[in-house]
Amino acid sequence: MSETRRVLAVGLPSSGKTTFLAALWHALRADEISPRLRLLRAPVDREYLMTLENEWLACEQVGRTLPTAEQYDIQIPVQFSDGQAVTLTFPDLAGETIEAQWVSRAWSSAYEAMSSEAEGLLVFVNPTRYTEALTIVDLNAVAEEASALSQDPHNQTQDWRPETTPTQVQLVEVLQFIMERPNRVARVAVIVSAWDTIADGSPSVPTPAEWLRVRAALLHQFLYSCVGQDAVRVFGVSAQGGVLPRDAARLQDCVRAAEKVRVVTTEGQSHDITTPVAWVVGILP
Amino acid sequence: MIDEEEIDDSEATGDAVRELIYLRTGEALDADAVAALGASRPYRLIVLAGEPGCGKTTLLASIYQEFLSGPLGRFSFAGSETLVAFERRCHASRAESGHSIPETERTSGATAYLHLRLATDDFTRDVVFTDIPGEDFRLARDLSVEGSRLGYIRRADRFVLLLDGAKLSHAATRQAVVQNARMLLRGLFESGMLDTRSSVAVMFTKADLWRSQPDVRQRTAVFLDAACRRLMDDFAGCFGDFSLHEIAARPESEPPDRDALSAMLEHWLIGDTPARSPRSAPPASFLSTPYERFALFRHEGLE
Repeated sequence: MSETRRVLAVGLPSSGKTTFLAALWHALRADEISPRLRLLRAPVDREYLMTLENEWLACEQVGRTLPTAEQYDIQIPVQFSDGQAVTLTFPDLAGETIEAQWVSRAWSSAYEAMSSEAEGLLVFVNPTRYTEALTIVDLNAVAEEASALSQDPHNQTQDWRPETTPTQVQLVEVLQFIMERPNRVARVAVIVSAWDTIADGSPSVPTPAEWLRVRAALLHQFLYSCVGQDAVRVFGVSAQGGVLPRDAARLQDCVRAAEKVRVVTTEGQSHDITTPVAWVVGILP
Repeated sequence: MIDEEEIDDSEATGDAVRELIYLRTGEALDADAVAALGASRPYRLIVLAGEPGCGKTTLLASIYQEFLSGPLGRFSFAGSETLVAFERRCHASRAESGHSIPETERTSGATAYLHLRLATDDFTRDVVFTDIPGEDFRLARDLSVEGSRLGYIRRADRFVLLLDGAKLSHAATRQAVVQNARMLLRGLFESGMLDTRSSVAVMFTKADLWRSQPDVRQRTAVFLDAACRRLMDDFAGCFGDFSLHEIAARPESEPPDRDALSAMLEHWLIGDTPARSPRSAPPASFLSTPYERFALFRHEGLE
């Protein structure tokens, strides 16, 4: 008898959730890299997953999930390497829905039910789609170094808009909404997506955990204070394997498509995109 | 085969999917919301007082903004019920605002309360800060404190009176700033809103303004030294804990002094308030913390 483990993906628009799901589905189905999890049997709603997979294999931008096309309850039966069977529930929610929680301060009853049942959270952050809390002092300091004008004194001032709130603040609030209510969250995996853009040509590459501590310090403090250091792990993930469309030709030449994926932790790196999922549901220590 | 019941349970009707549940607003709390928070868990109330423009909201915004970059001292951010309120208050100091120099919108309307939950290795503590229109204190100073809207001061774990550093650095206005502070503290003491159990701090804000100008720095320093001694003479015996400080919460051309902000939080959040403390001397370590650099003068009433 399989046990249902529920994993909830949290992230703003274009944070990499759907691309991750596409790559995960391929890894489970294709069995190219001996992943920790294997597909036990085909899920009922596999047509949507196969559409995502085809886009991913073609090295196209995996279609952003629009609110009207949300899949509320994708269930994927998998098997651990030790034979234990589990059904992963992986809702593929549009980032816009999650962003709306910050802007409109409301969520659906269905989402509340899912968040209350999730045992693990996958929190997605895309460094290339990341709003910083840049202060005027910071900006002026950079501008002085570049000998450029920072702020034109004749610039029109802008009123505060919730949409421009720093990414990490929005994520903290969304996570607070989950944590403030009865929940079953035992572990949180932070997925720093598009990790290849961090490592791409940089002379000193931070670990994913260091990236979170420095670039998303508020989120880092919140998670470690509220969930606990042992229950949080940060993964750098390149689910596409490169920057599209620049690297499409190289990626399309991969015979084993799963090998274009990179998953980086403090301990090392692999191609196994099931690793964050296996950890967040408690399979890995 | 997937259990049919599981499939049925996983499907939701369109209406159920779209049924909305409204979440908390994230805006500043009112008195009722603070009371509700206090009913569920203890919190420390920090009252920031001072006349319009002295820097109360700027100080709050600066504390929050600095947490976006990392812990302050041993304090880590562990949550807030008023993130929207903090973001609004930070907006005019952010690049997105379009301002050329950092600003803070003046607080108006009713007293608002901002919330932070802070964690150290040893504990987690809820902290509620007041964000009070400066006009309330101007009225309290000039009229009857008892008739004002400042009754929550009795509940304060820490009462912090901010004095406008911009006015302190000008010869024409500095004496009025100190005199007004003395009148307000005297009024609060005589009305019983502050008493011998109270922890009171006077904070000279915008210290970067006079520190950065050599011609102003010396004269201001001399004046402040005399003002501090007078305030100590007047009030050290009135309150359980009375101290004076300088702070530059948001300098115009450089980041804030995180050590100073950390020391300030340390004073506000660590240790019992005098009303609850046992009648004994404070630990020596308390006086040898980085707070000493931060505090100009300090007096603790001991019984």
